[in-house]
Amino acid sequence: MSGDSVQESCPDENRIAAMIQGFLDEESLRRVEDHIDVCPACTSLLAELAPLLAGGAQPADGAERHDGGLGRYRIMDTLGAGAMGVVYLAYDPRLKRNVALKLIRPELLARGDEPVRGRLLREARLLASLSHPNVLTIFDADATSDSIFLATEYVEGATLGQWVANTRPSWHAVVKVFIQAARGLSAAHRRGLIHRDIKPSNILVGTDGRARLTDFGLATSRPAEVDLALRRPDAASSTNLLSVEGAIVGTPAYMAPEQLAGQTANALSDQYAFCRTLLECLCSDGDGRTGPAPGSGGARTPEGREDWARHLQERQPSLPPALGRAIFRGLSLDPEARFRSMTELRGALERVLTGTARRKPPYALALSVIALFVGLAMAAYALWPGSRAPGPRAPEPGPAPARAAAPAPARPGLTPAPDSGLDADTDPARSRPLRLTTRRPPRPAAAKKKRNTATKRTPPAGPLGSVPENDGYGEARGGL
Amino acid sequence: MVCKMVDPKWEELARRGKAAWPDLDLDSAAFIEHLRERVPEETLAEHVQAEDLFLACACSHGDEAALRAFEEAHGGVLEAVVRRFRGLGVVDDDIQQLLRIKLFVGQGRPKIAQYSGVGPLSNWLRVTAVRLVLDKRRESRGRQEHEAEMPSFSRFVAEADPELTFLKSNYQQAFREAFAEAVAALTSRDRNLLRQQVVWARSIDQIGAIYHLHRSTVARQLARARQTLLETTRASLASRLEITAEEVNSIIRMIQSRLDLSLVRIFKEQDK
Repeated sequence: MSGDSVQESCPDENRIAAMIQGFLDEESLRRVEDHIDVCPACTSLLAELAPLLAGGAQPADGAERHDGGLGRYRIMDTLGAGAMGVVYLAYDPRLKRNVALKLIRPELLARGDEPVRGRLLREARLLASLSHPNVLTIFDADATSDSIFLATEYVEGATLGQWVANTRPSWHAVVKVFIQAARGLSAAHRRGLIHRDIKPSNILVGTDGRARLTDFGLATSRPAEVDLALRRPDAASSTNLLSVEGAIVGTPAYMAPEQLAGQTANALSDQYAFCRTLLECLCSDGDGRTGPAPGSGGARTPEGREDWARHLQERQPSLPPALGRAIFRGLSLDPEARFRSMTELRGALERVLTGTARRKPPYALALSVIALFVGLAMAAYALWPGSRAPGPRAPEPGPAPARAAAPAPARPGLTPAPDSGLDADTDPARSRPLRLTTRRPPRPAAAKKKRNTATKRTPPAGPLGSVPENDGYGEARGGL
Repeated sequence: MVCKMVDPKWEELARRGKAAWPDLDLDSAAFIEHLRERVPEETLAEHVQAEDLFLACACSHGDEAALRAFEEAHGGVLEAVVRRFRGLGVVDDDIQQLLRIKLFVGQGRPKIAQYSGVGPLSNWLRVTAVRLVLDKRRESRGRQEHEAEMPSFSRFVAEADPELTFLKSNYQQAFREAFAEAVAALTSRDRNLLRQQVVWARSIDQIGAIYHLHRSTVARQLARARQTLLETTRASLASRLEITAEEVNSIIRMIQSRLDLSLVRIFKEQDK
């Protein structure tokens, strides 16, 4: 890097010691610096010396040197990009284990925003108290003089995004991972911890097969790129400078609309991001393409949702309709229309898995069931326009959120639906393959036509059922 | 410097050395000879650690009492260095022994004889010990890993340039070039400071300890280096791409929060 200067041999120990002592004159120092600049051996020498010097003798002026505890970790490698900085592989000699060290430099956050530092540290410590197999364990959270650092469990494995790209898992395998992640997220939500930044790079899939959520609560509410995205919602048409999904960098692409609009993140916006991530993973073709064609926007507009739905259908033709419905319910633009908790969403995902494990209908049969569902659900929508309020659910297996499971009252127009294809899809406990055959709709095409006349917000036909926002499908889930 | 002016300096230093270690069997003439050979003439007397140099000189002669005194005064420094590398598969239990052999026996010439008395012996020992351990690590790693001096970049690239994915591909190349140029335009000092902070995750206090600078000075220099980097990149991008200043600013804002990642990438590439 030092231009055409000749690379000298490494400065001897006396010279380095003189530099450390501040005894070198300007010219000598410049020559030493020029050498270090092109000499990895001398660079690592200084790097290894630094903690020994800072932790050892006090400086001449008697000022106290504080290291914030980072000094005891040995930086071994760079692991990747974290939410706000570089993630390092480090070794903790005291506990004799590898850790992942995440360094956040406050100057990279809102400039001069001291409270941010305090908030991050508080949240990190709170998170450190949360112990869950599906949340990356935080061992240590502290501040050095110029940064905040987290020492977390080091996981051999990949980010969810890498895992999907590298292993091209079946939808089955993907859902299994997300069920685990949902467990971790539920546990965090129960403690009042919001993730704020769920996306494929914030879920790790270990070589042990275990999923772990990372980077909890570390995202700032409005990173610079969000502001940018907000100022150019139509980035594609304005300057063509930035790719469309790209302009909404990473985080914002997964943000719930209300979060993007500046509202405080909560459990429901986490749910949106979770479902958006799941959707993307199911749509991934393993070659980096994860969503509909560029230019179609995100999943936050009715058109965008339809694009995604069509894309999902193309990518995963055998996806159980209940899964598509669950995802798009979690992606509801109206937070009220989403699942009331991650526990509920997880229950839906689990039922999809157990349902398909018990019953694997032939493809054609599945299609007809879908058609029946679409028809009935559209009918339900037409007959029951006041379907915004969350309806009663079937009792959930496992621990449900603190909420009385009210007995399901009969709902006009809806009663036939839960009895037919719907429950067969989603509730294995109450369904048998045999029922599906007997409930086969005579004319799927007619059902579709009926749907089209029932509403102007035309949902794309397919395994997803319906995509548009809050159109009554949410309520016609029955077993969901 | 005039020769006649030098003598009193050496004598004064010899007096200080002897006073610090009255029990060591080393006569002033031998010590002054040792001083003359090592201390650059222009060195100010107050910069010479006569006491430390006296001990080092006695040790280089193999004096038993001096070696005992060394262990008492500086054994902890060596221990601290070894402790830092322990458990990393880098050093084994022999390393303490090896360090002492190198220091006091050497191959005909004990290493400690090289200490020039500029700065405290403890710092010279740290430099020497760390360098020895690192050399040994390179040796044991063999050829295949030889080039990987810094933490490796391999796992990093797996993320497929996270800091660039948001830029359209035709701008990525322009950004890369502009950024590389901007990094090359920094002073070697700036690059070294950034390397220590970004690649090695060293705190400003630690970096200050290497350069004998106050933390606020280090922080200021780092901030200025980053600012220069952004400004140069901005100018370079503007000249490369036919886009408006506002659009250049958009790119700059985006890379700002990812500056460290871009720096890690470029430093690693240079290392190869």
